[in-house]
This record gives sequence, C-alpha cells and structure tokens, in this order.
Amino acid sequence: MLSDAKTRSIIIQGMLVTAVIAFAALLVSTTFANLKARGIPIGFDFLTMPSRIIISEAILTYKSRDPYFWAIVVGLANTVFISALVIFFSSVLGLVVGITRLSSNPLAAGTCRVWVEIARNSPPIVLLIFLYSLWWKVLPPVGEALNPLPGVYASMRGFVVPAISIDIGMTGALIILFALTLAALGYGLARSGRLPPLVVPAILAAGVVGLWLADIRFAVDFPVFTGSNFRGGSELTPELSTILVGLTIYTTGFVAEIVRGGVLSVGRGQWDAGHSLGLSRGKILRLVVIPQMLRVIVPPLNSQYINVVKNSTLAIAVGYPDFLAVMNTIISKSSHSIEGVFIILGAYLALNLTLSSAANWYNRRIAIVER
Amino acid sequence: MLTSVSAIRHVPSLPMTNDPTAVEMVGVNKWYGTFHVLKNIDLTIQRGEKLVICGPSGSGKSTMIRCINRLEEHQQGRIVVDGIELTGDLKKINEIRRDVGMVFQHFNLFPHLTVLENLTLAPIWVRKMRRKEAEQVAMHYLDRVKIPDQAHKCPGQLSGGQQQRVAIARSLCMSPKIMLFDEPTSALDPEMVKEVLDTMVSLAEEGMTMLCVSHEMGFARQVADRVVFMDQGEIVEINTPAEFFSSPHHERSKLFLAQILH
Ligand SMILES: Nc1ncnc2c1ncn2[C@@H]1O[C@H](COP(=O)(O)OP(=O)(O)OP(=O)(O)O)[C@@H](O)[C@H]1O
Ligand SMILES: [Mg+2]
Repeated sequence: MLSDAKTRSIIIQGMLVTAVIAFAALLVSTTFANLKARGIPIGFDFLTMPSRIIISEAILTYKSRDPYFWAIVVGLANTVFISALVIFFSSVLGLVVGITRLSSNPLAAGTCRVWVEIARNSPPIVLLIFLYSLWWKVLPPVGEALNPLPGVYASMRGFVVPAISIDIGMTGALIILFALTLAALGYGLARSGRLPPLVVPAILAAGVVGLWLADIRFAVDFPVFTGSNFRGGSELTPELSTILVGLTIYTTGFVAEIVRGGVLSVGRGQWDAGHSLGLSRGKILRLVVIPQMLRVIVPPLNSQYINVVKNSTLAIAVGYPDFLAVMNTIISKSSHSIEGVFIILGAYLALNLTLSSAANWYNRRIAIVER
Repeated sequence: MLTSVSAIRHVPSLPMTNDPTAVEMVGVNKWYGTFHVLKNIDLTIQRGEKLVICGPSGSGKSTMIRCINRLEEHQQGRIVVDGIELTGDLKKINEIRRDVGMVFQHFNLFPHLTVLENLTLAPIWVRKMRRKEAEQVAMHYLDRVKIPDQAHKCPGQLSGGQQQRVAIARSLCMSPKIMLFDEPTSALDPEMVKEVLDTMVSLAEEGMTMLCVSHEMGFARQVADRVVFMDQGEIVEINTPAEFFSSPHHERSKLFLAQILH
C-alpha cells in the first residue's frame, strides 16, 4: 500500500500538517500560560486607551492624547504615503532610465547604467544612511536654500514643496460620487454603442454640471521664501526626504532593469514595421512597444512594489516614524507584544495583497484585450 | 469629404517630378563588422517597374531592400529614393519611409491592436488623418485584400495568409509610391501562398513600383519586368524573367535555379 505514490503523498502531507498544527498549538498554549503566570493581560481592548506615545511627524494629525488605534492608523498612513510616493516616482523614473539605457547616445546610456548598477548593488540601508549624512554636509542652510525647480526648495532642513489641498464638503463628496457614477454609466453605454446618439452627451453633461455644483476647491500653495523661513508649501523633513529619495533611487534601478527587459522582449520586427510606416522612434515606443511590454513587466514590477512596502521599514534607520517604528513604540509602551506582532503582520500582508490583486486585475484586463 | 475620396482612390505612383527613376543605387557597399554583405550594388528602378530579387540564403537580398527605406544603413555609395538621397538626415529618412511601404516575411503586425487599428495607426499618427477618415481608407483596403469582415479581430486570430494580406493593406493605407516585399510568402502554408500572390499581382497590375524578394517563379514570370539574381552580396545577373528562368547567362544563376527547381 505504501508503494502507491498517491497514498504515500497523502500520508506524508497529513503527518506534516499534524506536526505543524501541534507545534503551533503548543506555542500558543505555552505563551498564554506564561503570560497568565506573569500577570500580563492579552487582548485588543488596549487599543482604545490613550497611547501617550510621541510620533515625531505624521501625514495625519496626531496628538499623544489620541488612543492607540489612532497611533496605529497614523503610522500606517506614513508607510502608505512613503510607499505610494516611492512607487510613483520610481515607476516614472524607471521607465525613463530603462529606456535611456537602450539609447544609442553613449553618455546617456552610460549614466543610466551607473545608476542601475549602484542601485542594484548596494544594500538599501547603506544608501539611506549615506544620503542622510549628506543633508548637513552638502545642502546649504535655509537662508541659501537651493531652488532646483519652481516651487521646490532644498536645504539642510529638508525639502519644501508646493502644497496641494483639495477642499470638498460632505455634500460635495456625495455629488461627486453621483456625478462619477453617471459619467461611468455614460462611458459604459457609449462603448456598448446601443443608444440614441444624444443620450451619452446628456449624461456626460449632467456629470460635468454635478462636478461644478460640487464646488471643489483645489488649491496649490506655493512656498514663498521670506528670507529666514518659508511661508506656505509643505515641508518635508530631512528624514522623510531621505527615505523618499533613497528608496526612489534604489527602486528605480530595479524598475529600470525590468523596463529594459520589457523593451527587449518586443521583437525587432515590431520596430521594423513601425519604422517602415514612417513612425518615429518615440511613437513606436509609445504606441507599439510599451503597450506590448506592459503585460511582460507587470508581474515583476508588482514584486518590486511589494519590496517598496517592505523596504519602507528601513525608515527606522533615519528615524522616520513609519508603521513598524510606531508599532515598536506601541509594543514597548503597552507590552501587548503578541497582539502588536499580529497587527504588524496583518497590516503588511493586507498592503501587499492589495498591490498583488491590483496587478492581477490589471494583467487580466490587458490580457483580455489581446484575446 | 473630398479629401477622403481622393485618399481612398489609389493613385498609382504618379511622378511628383518628371524624374522617371524611383530608386537609384550607385556603388552601394555595406559591412557587418568585417563581413562584406553588399558589394558595389548598382541598380536603377523606374517608376512602375516590378523587380523580383532572388538568390541563395545569406546572399544579402533582405539587406539590400532594407537599405532602401533605411532599416539598414549603408556605409558607401549613394541611394536615392523618389528624388531624395538617403543620408543620416532623420527628416529625409522619415519622408522616404512615408512613401515606401514594406511587407515582411513574418508579417510584423501589431499583436495588441485590432486589424483596423493596425491599419489606421500610421495614417493617424504620421499622416495626421482624422480617425473617421483613416478608418474609411482602412476599410477600403481591407475590402481590396478581401477580408473586410475581419476588421475587428486581433491579428493572432487570423490565418497566416490573412495576416499577410492585412500587412499589405496596412502599407497601402499610407498610399506608398514604392512597395518592398521581403519573402512575403515563405512563412506561409502552401495553400495560403496563392491568396497573397493574387493580392500582389493585382497591385502590380495597378502600376505600383514593386521590389519583391521572392522565389515564386510563377509570380516572377507573371509580373516581373526584370529579375535580379544576387549571390554573396553581389548582383550577379539582371535579366528578363523569361530569359532568366530558361537560359540564365551566369554559371551561379544556373546552379541556383537547378537547386530551387528540385
Ligand atoms: N545584424 C546583422 N549582423 C551581422 N550579420 C548579419 C546581420 N544581418 C544579416 N547578417 C548577415 O548578412 C548576410 C546577408 O543577410 P540577408 O538577411 O540580407 O540575406 P538574405 O539574402 O535575405 O537571406 P535569406 O534568404 O536567408 O533571407 C547573411 O550572411 C547574414 O548572416
Ligand atoms: Mg532575407
């Protein structure tokens, strides 16, 4: 009986599962027993108690009187904020760097190659510590802040960038939701093409009027230098700036390699066809090569995005309070370490699964287009 | 709507100038590294002329016709297409490419676009045609290659013969003055060769200037004004099809014909 491959594999798997469950049960029961013996309570009710921890900077508003759960949300928001910005900038830069590496201009291609090699071959934490040490050595004091782009200043105290504020009331938000639904409906109907011609513009017009009624105030607040300080704009501390710049440089290297592979995966025949029709290099890239390489690069790109979320925990190296740092403080303050660890694991799992499912959804969508 | 009518009507290579020459190659040489692919190519093609180019594998046939729309760069000699000399000047290269269509052995259709989108891409982005008008032109040419009902399918869903006819239609949508064909039927199953050749024959009958790399002797006999035989990067013989296939002048031509006739 044991020689039957199927039976044998079932028996082995069964034994394995039993062993894992037994080990986990042993672990949990001893932990609980130990905690009880030492009089440490277990449970999630501490979350509503005031935390009294300090979070040095946050995207959301936070006061130390706020409960633990809000501290957790604030930490998570910091991590999501860093990850989102790094993913956005490294995607854009990675596309440019990856394509430029294939350019026939040796200087441009060489520069991009150096970037990729540095990014791919250095431990990210070293990159971050190095960049962090540069703030005070390379950048001037506030009084002589550099102004590389309009509205963007860089000095010892970090970056100052234009602040974007979107102001909508509750009714406004509802109207927008309604208008967007209408617009989506109109778009869907237009694509199915089974409507008298006037209905679609009418629905779209209703959507536009809705947006107008919603009275959104969209404001960009440019920083103004007042001689010793800045008025307006958003200030990014050196810590936040370092983690944003450092992780972006690092991730861009990997994205660029993926993009380069993607461009090369599209055969030379496609370029020949494009050129023979009189399309320029740029148009062939945009209309022919990039759409085709997307389906090749989305899966590896997704694992880079997941790496960004994981690497954001390196914020701890420069003292920026990301989710992990906040959770560490919470754990040591509240001594709810078991619960804390579960929250940490759950949060990163949720973030990364969200990214993966977004990538899967996108992949399915472009796959359908190809049939 | 006048414009769309004139765009749909295929105007058979009306000379822009009085120059009757479509393509002129003088002393063209090309190397891949140290490998001499094209050796002193001299070839003049008149407007409306049909040329069939044949020769053993690796003799440089593809390289030669790819030089005409600068998919390959030549290192020595002069190539003048439609009165414009091919140099490094990107503007001139694009000008020439707009007027020279090319059909490839492996079709090279854009797999992520529908047949109709394949046909309208260049007219919209290069000729700046409006989408409606470009689609009208595209449907006209799909009709001509006899597959108007496939317009909304993706290339991957078509047979090889249909794909190649789409590729021909895609080139025609740019109203080219010269068409280059690089072994358009050699990747096809035998039963599909005829449908593609028929399309090419009808194009030839309309007076298109054509350069075809092909070993289809029937096609060569039917439409070619001259047959060019290449071997080892040289043009060995230029002859009328009747004479080339029955009594070739050159030893190497005889050898080659003996091989392909078996
Ligand atoms: N990019 C390249 N680099 C180096 N050598 C090349 C390159 N492209 C072609 N060659 C060589 O140049 C020679 C001519 O190639 P070409 O493709 O023009 O031949 P062909 O006559 O079209 O042959 P076939 O009938 O097989 O298509 C061949 O020996 C080929 O190996
Ligand atoms: Mg060839």
